[in-house]
Amino acid sequence: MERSIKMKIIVSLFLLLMLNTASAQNKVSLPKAFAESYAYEQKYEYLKAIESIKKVYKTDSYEMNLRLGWLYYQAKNYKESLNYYNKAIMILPLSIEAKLGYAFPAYAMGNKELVIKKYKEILAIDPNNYYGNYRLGSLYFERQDYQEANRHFDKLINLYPFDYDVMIMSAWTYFRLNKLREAKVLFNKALLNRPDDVSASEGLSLIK
Amino acid sequence: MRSLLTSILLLVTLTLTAQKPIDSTLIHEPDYDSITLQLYHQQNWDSLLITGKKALKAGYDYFNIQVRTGAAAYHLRKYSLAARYLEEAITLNSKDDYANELLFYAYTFTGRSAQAAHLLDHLSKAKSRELTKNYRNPTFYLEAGPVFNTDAKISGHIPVPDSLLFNEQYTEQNAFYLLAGWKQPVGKYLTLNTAVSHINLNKNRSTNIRYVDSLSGDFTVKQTEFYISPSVCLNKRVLLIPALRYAVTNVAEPFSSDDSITKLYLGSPIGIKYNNLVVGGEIIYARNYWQASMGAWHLSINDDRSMQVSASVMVLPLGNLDLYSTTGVSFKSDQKSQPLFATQTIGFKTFNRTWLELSATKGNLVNTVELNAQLLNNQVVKSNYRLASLLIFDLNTQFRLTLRYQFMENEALTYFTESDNAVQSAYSNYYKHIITGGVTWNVR
Repeated sequence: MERSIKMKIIVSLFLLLMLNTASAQNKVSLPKAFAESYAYEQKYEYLKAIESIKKVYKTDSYEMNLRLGWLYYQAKNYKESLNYYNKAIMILPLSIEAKLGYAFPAYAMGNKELVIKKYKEILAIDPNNYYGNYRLGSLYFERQDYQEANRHFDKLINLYPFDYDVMIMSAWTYFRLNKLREAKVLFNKALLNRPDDVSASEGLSLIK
Repeated sequence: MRSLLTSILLLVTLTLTAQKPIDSTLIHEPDYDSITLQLYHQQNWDSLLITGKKALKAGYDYFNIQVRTGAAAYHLRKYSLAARYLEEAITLNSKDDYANELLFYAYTFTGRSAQAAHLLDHLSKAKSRELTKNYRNPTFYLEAGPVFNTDAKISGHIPVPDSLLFNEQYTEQNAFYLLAGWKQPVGKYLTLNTAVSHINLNKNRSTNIRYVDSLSGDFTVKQTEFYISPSVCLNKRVLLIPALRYAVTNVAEPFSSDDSITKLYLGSPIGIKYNNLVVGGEIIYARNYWQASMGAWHLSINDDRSMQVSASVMVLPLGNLDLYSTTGVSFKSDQKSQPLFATQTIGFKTFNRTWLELSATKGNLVNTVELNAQLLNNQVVKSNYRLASLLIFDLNTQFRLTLRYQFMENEALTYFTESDNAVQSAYSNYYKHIITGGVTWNVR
């Protein structure tokens, strides 16, 4: 009887020790796992980078899901990328970075309706978001919906008046809308930011 | 003690296994995106279709895969299949010019031009302008030809008793038919189909009144018809096509008599003008491999009024017009003894640019309409069946030639009166051969 109690105590201690070891391993390996994944990513070894995160993966970790979303996107596995970005969004629904990330694989898949929807969600949370407005404006520009594109670039040109990307997109949008005076001003401003810019020079030559 | 140790070992094993999860997403999967892109560039449509289907089955149901799979099916001339993938593709990227253009042609090549026009809104201005230009072009069509029949020979042999007081026969001699039409898309959702047709039917009326008089005279029935039908595309599946047909029938008087007894037997003059009107329409519901239609028309023909309802199903088993089948059935309210008539048509591609369409119709076609009132069977003799063939040859993208042959069995009719003065009738079958040639010009 006494021997049996002793044995039970030994076993319990052994189990406790094992659990503590496993937990410690996780705690220790988390930064290491991320560091490892960054190292692999720099070497374009995306599957290994994914594996590094997967070793310590927890379903409810926003950071891990976000990281996996990005790595799968880099590995061109867009289906999985969307899956992990979706998980990240579900964990933190107001996360703009996860939504911006989600738009990458969705765009690569060609699912532009989904991309537009996601950027609109971003702008519903943060109406002045730079990336949300810029990328949505660019998508509308691509679709030749210049009125709608102009709505977004116009907002950005007021928030970032000397940002080259905003100036040049806004200039081309005005050009397509046949508002040549506005386009000319913006092409000239873009040249102040990048004096040798080919796109701005081309725009000006078309106006003259 | 042993069981305790076993449990510990099991726990250790499980813990170790849990630390190394097997991740299915890391197992090598084909890179469907790259493979399909490569096959697309190689224009290897067979392989692309197979790989695309596999990718979609594996859950890679995104725009690029859908559109490439659709393109493969399109280039393999499986237009209905292509439409299925391309419809999915444009739900993921509604404004993509390439997907919309392929879908536009997939619809067009399966006879759904009206639905194709619905896609024009999704295209860029330049592409929309390019396709609209072709879509809005008018189509002119002309069809003409003679009608021959055996009526004159047959009706002379209708067995009637020798003891006749009076007998009367109408025989068809020959006829000529002419149709000219114009289809014009008006805007994106409306197409106007207008046509005018004329038939010249030569007949003979002969009467014999025993001991009194014997009269015989040729006469002509001239019928001029006007048809207008605007087809309205409600959405990419539903097409509403109202139709109106107006026909003026002029029957010439073959002979007359001043004799009072003869007048009594001849009855009212037959030379008369009729204004006939058909009003109705049909609704078509189209899917990629089949379409169903239902129609109803009110007919006012030769002073008789009636209703006709029809239903038909068209099937494209290969997903293109290389093989198609149409089954239709119609109900005519005023024909109590034989209210139904049915038509079965099968069309298929024979050689390059040539199609053959065969059809059989069973039932009485007296005062009925077909093809949404594009055809009015204003006939006084009962028909039993009709066999028809249509040879279609596409001369080029603008001109199409057609040759139609129809064979009909009709009933010839003789009225007679014996000594009891009761008017009786006798029937005999005769055969009608209609041969028409046509040309369709799709202006480009």
